[in-house]
Amino acid sequence: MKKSKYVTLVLITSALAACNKSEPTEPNWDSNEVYMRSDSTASYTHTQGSYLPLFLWYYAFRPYGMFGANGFRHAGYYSGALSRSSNIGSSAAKSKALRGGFGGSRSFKVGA
Amino acid sequence: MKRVSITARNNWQAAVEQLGFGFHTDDVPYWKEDAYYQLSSAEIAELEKATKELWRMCLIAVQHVIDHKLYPLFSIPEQAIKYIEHSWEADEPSIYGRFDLGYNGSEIKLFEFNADTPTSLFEAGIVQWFWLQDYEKSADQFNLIHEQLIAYWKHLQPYLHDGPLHFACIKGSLEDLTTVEYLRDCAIQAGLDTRLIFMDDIGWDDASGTFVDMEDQTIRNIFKLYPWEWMVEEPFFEKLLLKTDIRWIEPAWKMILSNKAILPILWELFPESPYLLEAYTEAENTLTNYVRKPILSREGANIQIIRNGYVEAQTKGEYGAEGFICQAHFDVPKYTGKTAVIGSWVIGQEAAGIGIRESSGVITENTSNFIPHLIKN
Repeated sequence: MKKSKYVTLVLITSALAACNKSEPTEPNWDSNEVYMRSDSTASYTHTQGSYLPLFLWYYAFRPYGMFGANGFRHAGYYSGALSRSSNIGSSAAKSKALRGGFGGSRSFKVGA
Repeated sequence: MKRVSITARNNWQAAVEQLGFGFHTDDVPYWKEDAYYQLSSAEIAELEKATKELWRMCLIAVQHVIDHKLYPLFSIPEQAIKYIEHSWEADEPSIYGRFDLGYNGSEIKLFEFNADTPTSLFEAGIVQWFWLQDYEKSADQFNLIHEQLIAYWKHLQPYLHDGPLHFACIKGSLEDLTTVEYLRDCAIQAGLDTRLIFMDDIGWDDASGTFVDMEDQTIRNIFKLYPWEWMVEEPFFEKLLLKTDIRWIEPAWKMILSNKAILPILWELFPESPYLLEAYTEAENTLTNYVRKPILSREGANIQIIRNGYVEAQTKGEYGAEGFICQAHFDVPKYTGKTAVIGSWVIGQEAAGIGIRESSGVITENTSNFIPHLIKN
């Protein structure tokens, strides 16, 4: 046979496919309540679980920081689903690493 | 090879989403299963033979480009040359590549080689495999992609540095993310410790002089679905030059093969090959019926089909600043009004399977459809 004898996936699940679904237009107020924060020194934000974007699994917490003379300086993590107070807390700079030096050429898909 | 119309599975969208295939439809379906392509065992054997031979010729062509310092033909910037040569001399490993082939029933011809950042791997290795399980389980398919990916990650394990293997792509493209996560899935099954990171999240720690992930852990091995020609123009490339002991997969020498300037080189080196179309740099072109391609472009952008000096068809895009090559036109048959291009995968050093994309036009673009195939004599 010229095909794989058996195929099993251990990482990819249907949850990945769900990343392409659009957000619901109306929140489901019957959903479970969720409290989140992106920094252990920050206060929690109360939000509604199913109103969060479905691609939360991969994209919820983005790095944040600022651009200076030497480029982008990472300072922590950020989620658009949370309030400012729950994103920042008191950790002004959690990392020494400079980020954003790759990945800036294009914003669309790469594959050929 | 023939195209057979069938009825798609009921609720096929749910079936493919169950596999993790979320980009099956954009404005119109990308994955289509109301037809399949049927190939004979003899045709598959010819495709396998062509793929192996093209891969062998490509490796010789890389050595030729390096030996003769042909980098200006490829518009490769000066700062990248030393790094490319280092990656070649160090025999930095490659995991995969996809030859796009035209087939007219008797001849197989190379259109281009997607050597650095090919996608449609998940569709070819997983989605069409499971489609066949549902459609005709006992039938065969040229599709050892999954098995060979796992086997080759295992093979590469001794060549990787200590520490996890990171996988990187851009944010915001589910297609790219799925490709990377599929490769990571296979690496996990091969026993490797892996991490996902997005390209713009990669950090540089000046104190240790290392690239780091989001947890400030040193990156020592990384698969990136991100073109080298973009990386060499970005701020961190100068850091990369300071840190030559990272395994980048695909390696930097793939920058030569992913560039369409390799097509005239291949023709110059192997004019007797049955798998190559006549090809020239634009400055040296003598063809009157040809396809004009930017040396750097993606998804069929900025391509012109010229017949007797007139533009017969063309696609839009933003590429072409680095120059063009001209490749002889090759007529492939229409199947129910569709033009099919065969993507033939090299995994490790082996021909591993095919995926077929078809278009209504004569140029395969990012709006083409992926159609499954099976083998039947």
